[in-house]
Order: sequence, then C-alpha cells, then structure tokens
Amino acid sequence: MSRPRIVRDLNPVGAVAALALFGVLVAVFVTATFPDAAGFEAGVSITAGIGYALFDMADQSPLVTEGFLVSFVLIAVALDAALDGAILLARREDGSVLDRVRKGGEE
Amino acid sequence: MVGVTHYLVLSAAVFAIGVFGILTRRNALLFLMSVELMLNAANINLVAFSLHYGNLSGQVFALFVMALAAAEVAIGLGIILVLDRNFGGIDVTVPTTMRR
Amino acid sequence: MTGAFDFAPAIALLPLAAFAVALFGGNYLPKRGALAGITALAGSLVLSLWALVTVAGGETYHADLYTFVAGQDTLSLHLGILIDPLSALMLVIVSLIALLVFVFSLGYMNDEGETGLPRYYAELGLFSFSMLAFVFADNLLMAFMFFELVGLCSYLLIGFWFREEGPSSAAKKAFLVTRFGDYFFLVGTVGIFATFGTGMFAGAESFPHMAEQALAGEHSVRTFLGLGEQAWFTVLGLLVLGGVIGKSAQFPLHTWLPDAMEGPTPVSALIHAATMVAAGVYLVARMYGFYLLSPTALGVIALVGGFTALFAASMALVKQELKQVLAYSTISQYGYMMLALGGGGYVAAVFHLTTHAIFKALLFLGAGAVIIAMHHNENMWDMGGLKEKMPVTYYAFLSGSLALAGIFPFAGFWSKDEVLYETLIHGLGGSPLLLAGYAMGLLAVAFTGFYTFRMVFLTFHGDARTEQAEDPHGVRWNVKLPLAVLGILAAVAGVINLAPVEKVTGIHLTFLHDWLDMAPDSFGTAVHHYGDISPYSAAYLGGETGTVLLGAAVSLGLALLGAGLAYRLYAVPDPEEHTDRLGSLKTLLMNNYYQDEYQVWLARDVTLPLSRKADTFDQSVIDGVVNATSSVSLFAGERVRRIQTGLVTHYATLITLSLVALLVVFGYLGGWF
Repeated sequence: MSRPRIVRDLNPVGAVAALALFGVLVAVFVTATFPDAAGFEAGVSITAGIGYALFDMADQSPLVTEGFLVSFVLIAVALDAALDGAILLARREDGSVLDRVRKGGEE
Repeated sequence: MVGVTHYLVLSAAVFAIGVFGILTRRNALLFLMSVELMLNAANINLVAFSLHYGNLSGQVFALFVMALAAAEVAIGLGIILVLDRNFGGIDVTVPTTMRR
Repeated sequence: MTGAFDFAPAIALLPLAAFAVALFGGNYLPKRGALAGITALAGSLVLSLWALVTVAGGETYHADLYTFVAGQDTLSLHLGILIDPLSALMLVIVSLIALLVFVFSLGYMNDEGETGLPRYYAELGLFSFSMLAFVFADNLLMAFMFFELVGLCSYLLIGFWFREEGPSSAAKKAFLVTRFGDYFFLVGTVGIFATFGTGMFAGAESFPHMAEQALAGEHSVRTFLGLGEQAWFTVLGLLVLGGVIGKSAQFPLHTWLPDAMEGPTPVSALIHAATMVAAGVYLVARMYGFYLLSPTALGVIALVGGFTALFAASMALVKQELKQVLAYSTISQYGYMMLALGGGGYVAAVFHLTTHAIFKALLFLGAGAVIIAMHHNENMWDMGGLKEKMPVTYYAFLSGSLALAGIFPFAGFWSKDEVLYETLIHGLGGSPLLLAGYAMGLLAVAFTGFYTFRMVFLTFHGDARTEQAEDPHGVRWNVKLPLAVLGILAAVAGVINLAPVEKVTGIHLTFLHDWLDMAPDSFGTAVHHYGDISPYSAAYLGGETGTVLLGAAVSLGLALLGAGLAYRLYAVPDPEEHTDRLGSLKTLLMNNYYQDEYQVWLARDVTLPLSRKADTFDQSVIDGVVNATSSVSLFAGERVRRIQTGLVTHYATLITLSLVALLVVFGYLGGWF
C-alpha cells in the first residue's frame, strides 16, 4: 500500500538556491515600478482576437496588431516532429513501445 | 486592484517551485513536471504583460509556449523511457557517463 | 636624353654581375673569372669617370631606385642613388683601386697557382659592388645595409685561406669586432629614423637639414630619453660613430685590422685603401652636416682620431713583418682623417682619404710584389738589398713611402699638412681639445717618418740577408702596371689641393675645395654650407701665411727627423734591431699594448661570467615565473574540474546560484533595489 510521504533526503544547497532565487526575484519585482496598465478595449472578444491573430486575419478584430500564421505552422511542425522523436526514442529494437508498461501491468 | 506586480510575484513563486523541484528531487518524472511549472511561470508573465500593455501578442505567445511544452514533454518522456531502459531506473543522479 | 646618371646603377651592378659570373662560371673561364672582374671594374671606372665629368659640369643626381617599404603617413624605406661631388670622387677612387687590385691579383693569385680562384674573384666582385653601392647610397639605411655587406665580404676575403688556422680566426675576429661597432650603428640608424622619420643624406628632407632646423628652432623633432635636442643629436652621432670606429679601425676597436693581414695581400690593399676601412670615414664625411651640429661628437671624433694616429704609429715602430707595419700605418692614417673631420677640416679629410687610398694601395701592392719575390716570407729582417733586383717595385714603393711619411712634395705631404693645419687653426680658435689632437698628430708624424723608412731601408737597402732575398722571384707586367700607375699618382696627386701654396702665393690651386663646394645648395652638402654651421672658429700664429708656413715646416721637419733617424740606423749594409734598446717598452709595443689580451679578458673573464649569471637568472627567475604561472593554472584547473560531476542537479544548482549572484550584482549596480 502506498501513500504520500514527506521527502526527507532533499538537497539542501538546491533548496537554498531556489529560495534565494525566489527572494531576489521578489525583491526586484516589488521594488520595480510600472506605468499604468493600458488594458484592452472594452467589449471586444480577446479569445476571438487570438484566433484571428493566429490566422493573420487582422481586419477581423481591432485587437490584432500582427499575424502569426507562419509561426503557427512552424509550431505545428515542431510538435509533430517532437511526437515522432518521442516515439523514436521510446521504441525498442523489435519495434514494440509499451512492453515495459505491459509487463509492469502483468506483474 | 491586482496589478502586474502581483502576477510577477506569483510567476516568481511558480518558477521558484519549479527550480526547487529540479534542484532537490532525483526523479526524472518530477523533473519534467518542474520544467512544466517553470514554463507556465513564464506564461503567467506573458499573459500578465499582455493585459498590462493591451497587446494581444503575449497571449498568442503563451499559446505557443504551451504547444512547445507539449513537444518538450513528448521528447522528455521518450528520454525518460530510454533512461529507464539503459540504467534500470529514472534517478537522474545515476547517469553520469556523459561527463567524459 | 641619356646621360651618365642613367647608367649610375650600373657602376655598382657591373661588379655584381662579375660576382655572379665568377661564382657560377669561374671554373670554365680563362683566368678563373679575373677577366670578368677586370672588365666589370673597367666599366665601373669608365662610368664613374663619366659621372665625375658630368658632376664637374655642374650637375648632380638624386633618384629613388626601389622602395621596399612605402610608408603611409610615416617613414618609407628605399634604395636610392645620390651622386654629388663627394660620392662621385669616391666612386672613381673605389673603382680605380678595385680595378688595379683585380689586375694585380692576376700576378699575386693566378701566377702563384692558388686554388679556389673563382671564389676569390666572386668575393672581390661582391666586395666592390657593396662598397660602390655604399658610396652612392642616398639614405642611412641603405648605407647601413651595404656597410654590413662590406663587412661580410671582408670576412670572406680575410678568411680566403680558410683551411689554415690563422686566416679563419682573423676573419672571425674582424667580423666580430666590426660587428660590435655596428650594433651601435644600427641603434643609431633606428634612432635617426625614429627622430627624423627619414634617413636621407642630402636635400631639404634630409636628417642633417632637419636637425639644423630643429636646433634653429624652426621646427621640432621627437627626442628620446628626456634629452634636449642638442644632447640627443650628440647621442645619435656617437651611436653611428660606433660603427665608424669599428670599420675604420679606430681605438679601441682597431684590433681586427692587423690580424686581417692574414688575407691575400691584394685584398689587404682593397680593404685598407678603398673599401672596408674607408667606409667608416666616408660615412662621417657623408653625414658631416649632422656631426657639425654637435661639438661634443666632433670633439670625440677628433680626440679618438688623434689618439689613434699616435697610438697605432707607435706600434708600427717595432713590427717585423712588412704587412704589419702597413696595417698599423693604415690605422694611424685613418686616425688623421678622423682628426681632420673632428677638427672641422672636411676638405682636408676627403683630401687625405683620396691620397691615402692611392698611396696605401700602392704600398700594399708593392708589399705584395715583395712578398711574391720573397716566396711569401713577410719578415723584413729576411729581406734587404731588393733595390737592384726589382727597381720598378722599389721606385713605386719609395714613392708611396714618401707620400705616407709626408715628405714634400709627395701627395701625403699636402693632405697631411692640411689635416694638421685645419686642426691647428681651429684649435687656436678656442678649442683646446683640438690642440691636444694636433699635438698627438704631430708626434705621430715623426713616428710615421721613422717606421716608413725603417721599412723601406730594411726591405730594399743594405745586403741581402737570406737566400730568398738574393734570388727573388720575378714579377710580371700585371704586378708592375698597377704599381707604376699608383706610383705616379702618389707622387702627383697632391696637386688637386695645394692649399698652402695658394695661401702663400695667392694663386688659386685648391681644386678639391672647389670641387666639393660644387654640391648644389639644395643638397646641403657643399663646403661653404659646412663652413656656415661649423662650431669652430679659426685663429692664426703670425698671420695666415705665417701659420701655413710654420705648420708645414714643423710637420715636414718632424717627418724628416723620423726619416733621418731611420736612415742613420737602418740604411747600412747590415742593420741591427735598434728598437731593442727600447727594452720593456718594445715588448709593450710588440704586444700592441696588450689590447688583444685585454679584449679577450673582457670577453672571457667579464662578459662570459656575466652571461652565465644572466643565464642562471633566466633559468631560475624568468623561467620560474613562467612555470609558476602554468602550475597555478594547472592546479586551478585540477580543482575546477571537480565541479564537473556529470550530475544534472549539480549543474542546475550552479546555474541557479550564478543567476542569483548575477541578478544581485546587476541589481545592485543598476539600482533595482
């Protein structure tokens, strides 16, 4: 039977480093000053704007300032390649991917 | 009112938690999750500043980051599988053979 | 229109061609390359004479031949030709003497069946080329390059019989000693280029002219070491003078020259009369406008010259070998030239350079003839009575000796008298230093008369003291011709500048003065220009005429005194070694004042331990520092290597901590907090 436990063998240096990073970041952010928020035009759908921006349809929404169609396609290709890569990495010589999982299920 | 500073502190907290996870844990799956946390800390910043400056590009970028995070998870899981296969476990402190 | 000057480069290039021909084809040529050399030098002589005639017509020539470093906004280095009266005169002298030496070599080398003749003639050709190119060099760097080539060639020629021990060690000595002086010359050359940005000898852009303007405050130059302009120019002048002292065998770098007698005698004639040794004095004359600006440098030149004249003459008194006497007389005579240059007697120095080139070449060639006759025995005590057996040689040698001793009316009298006269009047004009130089020069006159005639009487008079002297080996036309030419010249060459006669009679006879004064004003090398910037003033004893007569009488009297003493002691059928009466002084003189020993001591017991110390210092301290540096980085690398654990976690921790540190630093510096 398993249940969550408090991990005790933490790396103390790493913990200190992470906390220090947090401290520094917060110290910087809190002391920084920003101009007043501009905000979006009222009554315009932001979600629709994002959709139009992704497909370069700048004339459909006043929020769209630039098109991202090319980036969108590139990201799609990258995601596809990553999936292919993941399968490539995970596959064994005999072509099976999930043997371990299946075996673990049997055990 | 919730200003950009609040978002920044939130994102710093999320990011620090991610870093904490990477620095203190040895499980590769936890590494992957921590990296997701850090990426999403960046997303918080992107969306926060998108709202702050009234510019949509930040939000679009956040979407792209999520897509890339998915790609990264796919590759990461593949690597973890190979790790498990070659070293008999997913403890990141075991494989040190790339040192040389 | 093509004139003489269009062929000026050929004056030097013809001997260079002869060098190549003799070197590569000498073995297949009749006379082993001598004829090629004679043809080339004859061509050079003709071209030099043509240039001389053209210069006499009032033209001068200055042209760039080849620029090997073209400076952008800075100095440029080039080869160029400068033909003014001085260099035209010197070109004629050098090519004439070299031609005669080539002819004489036919008798001295070919007829004696020497081997390695192509090498000999090739080296002679290269030697002539270097000297001729040095003479017409228009800038200091080119002069330096050919100055070094001259040194190299004399090394090769002195060591011609390199299989024997003496010549090869003498060659090395000549090379090293002159090189020691040339270090200073090189530093001086660099200094002059750095100061003036040019090394030109003549013209408005020349360094003597710029130095003159700088001293007049018309424009400024860069000086170094925090010295003022006057002091810095003196330093530069003295640095260049180092090379001159080495080449012209002045005290204390004269020791190589007597040893250089190990080379073939024609080579000695060439080295002493017209090339190697003359190069030093010629250099001072060439940049005389620069030296005149520095009274200190002039004083040093005069004192070194006067001292060397006396010092070398005293050593010549006791020598037993014919060529050794001549070697010391050469050192002594170049001392006179330096004395004249230092004493403001530019014309006198050039005059003496000219006459000395003639009579010293004559004496060496005469000595060579005697040495052929004596089957290469050089000891004067083994000679005697050669007068009847070789009359041509005797009379030519006598003419040269009279000139050397400075007996009226031979060439040497006029030039030496003018040297002493110039020194005297400038000394009387308020420069006591010059009077000291004058006194030493005057004393050396008596010594010169004595050793010259001791040599003549021992060699040619009295009874033959050995079988070789009773039955001398005959010499042919190729020995007699150069002797005859030079013998006549030695007797009459004085007419080119009869300054005393002019002063007494008022008839215009100072042709050499007029000649050297013909350089155009734009060159700044004319005599009247040197007179304008000379720091000396003249004063007279009993009027100008009185001083002339007095000076001439005193020097002639002393010369006759020395010669007369030699006559009384040695012009007997069976002379004795009267110099033995000098006792320990003779030992000192025979050992050349232990100059060699002291220089060897300097090298072996001072310089060598010092170098060892420096080496130890280099090995331990300098290398130690270098090694320590490397071990520090090795050690550090060994330590830093440990953080490369290969663990992702550690790397990530380091990255995080570094990011934090960077953020803090930037935040602190950028004022984010």
